[in-house]
Amino acid sequence: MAIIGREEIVAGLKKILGEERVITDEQVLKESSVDRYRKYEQAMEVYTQPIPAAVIYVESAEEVSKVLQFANDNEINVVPRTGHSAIEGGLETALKDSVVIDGSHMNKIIKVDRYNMQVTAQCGVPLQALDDMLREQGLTTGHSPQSKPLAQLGGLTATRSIGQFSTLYGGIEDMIVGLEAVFPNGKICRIKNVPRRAAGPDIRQIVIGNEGALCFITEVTMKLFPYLPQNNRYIAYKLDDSQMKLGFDCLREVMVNGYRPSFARLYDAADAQQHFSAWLESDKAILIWMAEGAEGITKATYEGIKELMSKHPELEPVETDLIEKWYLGLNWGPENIAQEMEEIKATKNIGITTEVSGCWDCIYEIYKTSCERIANEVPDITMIGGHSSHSYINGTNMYFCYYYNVVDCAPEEEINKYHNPINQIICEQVIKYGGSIVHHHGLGKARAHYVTQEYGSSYYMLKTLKQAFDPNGIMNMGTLIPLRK
Amino acid sequence: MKLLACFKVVPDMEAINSTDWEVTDSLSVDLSYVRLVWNCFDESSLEMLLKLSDLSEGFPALVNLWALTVGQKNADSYLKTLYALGYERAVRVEEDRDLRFCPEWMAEVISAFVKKENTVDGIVMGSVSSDGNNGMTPYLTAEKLGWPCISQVIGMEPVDDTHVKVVSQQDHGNVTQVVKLPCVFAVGNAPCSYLRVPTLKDRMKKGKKPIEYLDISQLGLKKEISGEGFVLTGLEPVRQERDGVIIEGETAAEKARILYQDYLRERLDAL
Amino acid sequence: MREPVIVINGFSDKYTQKFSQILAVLPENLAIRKMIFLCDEKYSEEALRRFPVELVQVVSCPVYDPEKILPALEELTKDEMWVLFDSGYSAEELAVRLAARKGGTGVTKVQDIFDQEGKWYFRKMVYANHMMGTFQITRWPCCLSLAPGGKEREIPFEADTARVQILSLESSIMGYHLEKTEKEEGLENASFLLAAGRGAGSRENVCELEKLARKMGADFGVSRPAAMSAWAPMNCLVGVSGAMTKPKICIAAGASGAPAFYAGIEKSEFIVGINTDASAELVKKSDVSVVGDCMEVLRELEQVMEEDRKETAKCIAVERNE
Repeated sequence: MAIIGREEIVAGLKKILGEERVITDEQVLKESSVDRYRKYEQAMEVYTQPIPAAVIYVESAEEVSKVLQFANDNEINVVPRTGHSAIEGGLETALKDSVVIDGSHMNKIIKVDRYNMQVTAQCGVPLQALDDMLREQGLTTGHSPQSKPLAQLGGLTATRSIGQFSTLYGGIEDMIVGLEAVFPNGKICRIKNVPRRAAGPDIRQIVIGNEGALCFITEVTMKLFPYLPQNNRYIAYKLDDSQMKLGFDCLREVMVNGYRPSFARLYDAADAQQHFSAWLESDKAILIWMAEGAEGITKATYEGIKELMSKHPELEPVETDLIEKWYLGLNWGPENIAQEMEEIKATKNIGITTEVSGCWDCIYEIYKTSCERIANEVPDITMIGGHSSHSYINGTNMYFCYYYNVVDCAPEEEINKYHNPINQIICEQVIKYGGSIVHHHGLGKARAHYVTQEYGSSYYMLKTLKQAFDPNGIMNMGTLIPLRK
Repeated sequence: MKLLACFKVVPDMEAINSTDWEVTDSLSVDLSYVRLVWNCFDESSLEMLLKLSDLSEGFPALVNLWALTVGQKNADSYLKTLYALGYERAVRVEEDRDLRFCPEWMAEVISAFVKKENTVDGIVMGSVSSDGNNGMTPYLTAEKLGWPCISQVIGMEPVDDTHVKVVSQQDHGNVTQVVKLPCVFAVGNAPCSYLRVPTLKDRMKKGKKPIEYLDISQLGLKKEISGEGFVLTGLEPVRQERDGVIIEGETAAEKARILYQDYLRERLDAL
Repeated sequence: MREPVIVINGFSDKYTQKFSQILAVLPENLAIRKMIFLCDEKYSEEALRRFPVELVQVVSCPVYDPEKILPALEELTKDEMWVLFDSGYSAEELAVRLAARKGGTGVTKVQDIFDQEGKWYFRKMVYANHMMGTFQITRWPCCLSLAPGGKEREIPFEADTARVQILSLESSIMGYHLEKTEKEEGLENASFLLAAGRGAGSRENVCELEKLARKMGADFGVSRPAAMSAWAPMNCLVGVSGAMTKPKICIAAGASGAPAFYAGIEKSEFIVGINTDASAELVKKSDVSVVGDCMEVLRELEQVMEEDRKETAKCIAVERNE
């Protein structure tokens, strides 16, 4: 914790950045003490986390460097932030007198390099703005997480985000070719943009997914792909909810036979009803693929998947028009957040998601046993279900969606009565069956206390990285590595 | 006290891309792919009745809540939700025809049901539904039954077995009054209008009760839809996108002048 | 088709405006013979006599009691084939219920009415305002009520043209209590809004913009990035975490058009965008845009408006002197 007082921290920051960009307005500070992990508290406007000393807006890597040196010298905890769309507590200011470093003013797209098919942009560029701009030129990053209308490149990189088309394009770790980041001692490091190199470990991966616990990302360079939506082809089937095991097997079959659809999803009946209630029976699960890319490839992928699935009499084809229109409307923007907050306030019913992954041989067990335990062990559950949305050659993810009524419980107690026990059940089941407790939201602070179980013997490597790059413990403390209480 | 809530499930109009508002040959819009939601005013009605029921705990006579919808099978999961929330009867009149602009018919079906049952003390429903925007069904139902009607209801409280205290929004203010049943209540912009959510356990316990299905012939109605006084002859999307005109000019002053004279003055005068 | 009887709700203070909205949907040369005026016991016969109609029938009831008013309307419109109500809650209810009693057709929220080859049509919004429907009226008599917020046409008031008849009713409503709606404050109800984004540049600039807004007669709001920079208090926040506004005119200055902010001004009737970047999302999402520094443009705009105001004031003064 800081060795100087709140006023001194603010004064020091103002000296570096000027008055204007050091914010100490109380409401701003309160809202900056949390992210959507505590959305019930947010909705009820109850703030339980230490209120930061300041929120500061940085405009260059050099400024970040000066701020971090100042923080490092004075042992001030800093929380890097861009789009503020985190949902696992990664943006909570867990220590007294923290400083939130907001990079959203660094929003320049530096270069679209069409010839080398790469784009360089600052950390505060909103992904939506970047990809909309690229699409107008027939290009895309291929990155399309549901948080796209909110999230910005720095945060997306820092949390190892993944998009809806990951089965073709990969996660953000497959897209970043180079970057710039600033470390606690003020050192600005640039990793150059090359197709590949074998000059030691891939140090990009120290930065990607660091969740603000090692460094502050100021700039990234991402791959570009041609944008050819006219070639998109959809395939969809419905199946009985009792056939979820078969559903996972179908996802697997497509992957192990060498197909690379961009979109591969399996919704169980409960989750499917949230999207397809207009035409899907309430006891049906649904399988969806989309082939994307050059015409010949999408045609072959489409036909290949069709051929594979034709061998399963349990599957009933779904008119793909229904899927295509749904998919085009599948955005999760700020208006949804606003409505969600209203609904939470009115009904005290709240919906949360937790995403995990596992190899093909355990993902069904993880899914099934977690759902059963949550329904049986947690009170006031109104819905539990989920979907798989990112498949790999060796396994897939599971995105649990659950809703519960907050009954007889103060806002500040909600996390402990409901959200954390549910997280715990899911983590226990995942660890029991050998999957990963985090697929793409980040460990944040919510799941940091499972880190040693998640990492096992390799925790040594993570801990060493933290000690080496952040010896004074100023970078987003409590994230990745839990605080000792 | 038996109170009947009439509701409709409708496509979520806000979940549709602006380019998907295409008119089909049958003067309709294909929204079959769009997720369904409670028609928002009906959702308010359903929640308002549950609150009324909560408030009447300890009253000598029980409040019995019934729910009725006219439509297709995809409303069934909504009826089950109402069972799970404590509605005692959930009824669906089977209809797969286009009822967007048939408020007379809808009122005919509802009033036939109420006459058949003969024990309903009050009917609560949204004042308008988002698809047809007719805003007529509750009023026509009241007229067909010869019952009084309160429009734009935003709150209800039980008084005794035959009276309800009602707050309604009128053009000049909010009015509170005590109403003797039977009566039709047309629900308007009620605050806190989201329907509560039943737990999985409630669904297991109460939501398994079979839905009651009715054919219109069982209500003593002829098969043909009749009674409407207008027909749809044209349908076109309302332009959503904006012009995006950029004002050309040398200086900020010039641009501001053009902005004011060509675009703002008249609009400001009309405020 | 004969001219319609019109019914105006005099329980609300806005009845002149409602009358002028009815005029706007009728053919210009159509004279209105009869107006039925619904009101409580406080009405001015003198004011009613000035309306350009032959006959005003006042239906006076201590409170708005549709169960008492409807039979009276039924009687007063016994021979009428066409009854036109103003806009609003009571108009909708009465139009539909009166039509049912007359064995005719009720219609609500009509935008306009027209005839073609001897048939009558109306247009109204359907599908949650995403579509406009045209409908033919197939059964008469017909009672229509208008959509709120329609166009207006100036009323050619004359001195003492209308005859006034009065019908007094009693109400039997139990436990009646009226709470008059105050004019609601807050950005949600602004009709003219200036909303500033981070492009305003600094707290001083935002303060200046707020003053300019006040001079222009606009309410003032800011985007979330501006509020998060503490350039304006949180209660000025426009967008999904703040006010969802629906003004007639919205000037969005120095905002990017990011979804979180835009959702808060999306329902504006007319959006003016001001941004230094012609390719900004805001420019595409505005009806009209100025590419330039928002401070400069708004200072100039305020000047232009001020000059125009002085000009108008001068004209009025001249007229008075003449």
